[in-house]
Amino acid sequence: MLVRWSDWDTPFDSFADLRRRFDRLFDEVGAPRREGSGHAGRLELTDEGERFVFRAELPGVAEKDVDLVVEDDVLTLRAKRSVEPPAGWVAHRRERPAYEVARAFTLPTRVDAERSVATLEHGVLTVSLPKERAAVPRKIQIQSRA
Amino acid sequence: MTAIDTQKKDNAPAERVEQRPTATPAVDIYENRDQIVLLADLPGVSPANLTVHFERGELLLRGSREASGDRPAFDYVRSFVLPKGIDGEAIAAELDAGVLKVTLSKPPQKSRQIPVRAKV
Repeated sequence: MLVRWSDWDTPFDSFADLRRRFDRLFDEVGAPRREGSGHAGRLELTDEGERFVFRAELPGVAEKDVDLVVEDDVLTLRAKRSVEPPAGWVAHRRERPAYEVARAFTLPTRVDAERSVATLEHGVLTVSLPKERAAVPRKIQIQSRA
Repeated sequence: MTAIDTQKKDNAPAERVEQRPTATPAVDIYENRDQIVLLADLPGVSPANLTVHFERGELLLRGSREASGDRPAFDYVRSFVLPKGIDGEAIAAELDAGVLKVTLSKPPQKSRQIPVRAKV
């Protein structure tokens, strides 16, 4: 026997449509949580004893668009990327934000700007900031009194 | 007594199936008449740590990141179902400044105007 599902389904069509609408709504609300949406990616500073290491996720930023200044104990970072859809193309998804970073960080100690080195690799900026000699931790030998 | 012990063990928090935590990368998708272009932000992923896999109409991106600072290692993972007829052989992928660009060729459009004859 042939069951005509299409006829049977008809009254539920509006429900299916409603469900689809809700799905779409929730797709928008609960869009995948992204790292660094609306601004640049993560920034972090680690203390490695003799030096600080500063890392910044800057995907899509060219070297010429990064400006980095170290002065005494202040690190200033400026970076920018623009995301322009190519002309004549239809955009289906636009999640990658254009962003501009302009931030100054006060480091816990003064650093040696002369020996600081920065690299930009695979969209991650890594800055090595050697501490000033006086700020480097020193192990103190304990003397026993005989 | 042993039985109770076993039961207690069963109530322990479930083990995680995924070994590494994952993150969803931000993606742009553009399309024109002949091509689809996908851009994904994958900062810190080197070409050696990135796989772009195409199978049965599904494109899977997976990029691994090493642990850095106080963040453990994790993977960027995202997959897409592509329109039918995409040529798997013609997919090109390049990584520049932490941004992956995947270029896909669409099948040629075979459109034909069908003449309508009037019945007299």
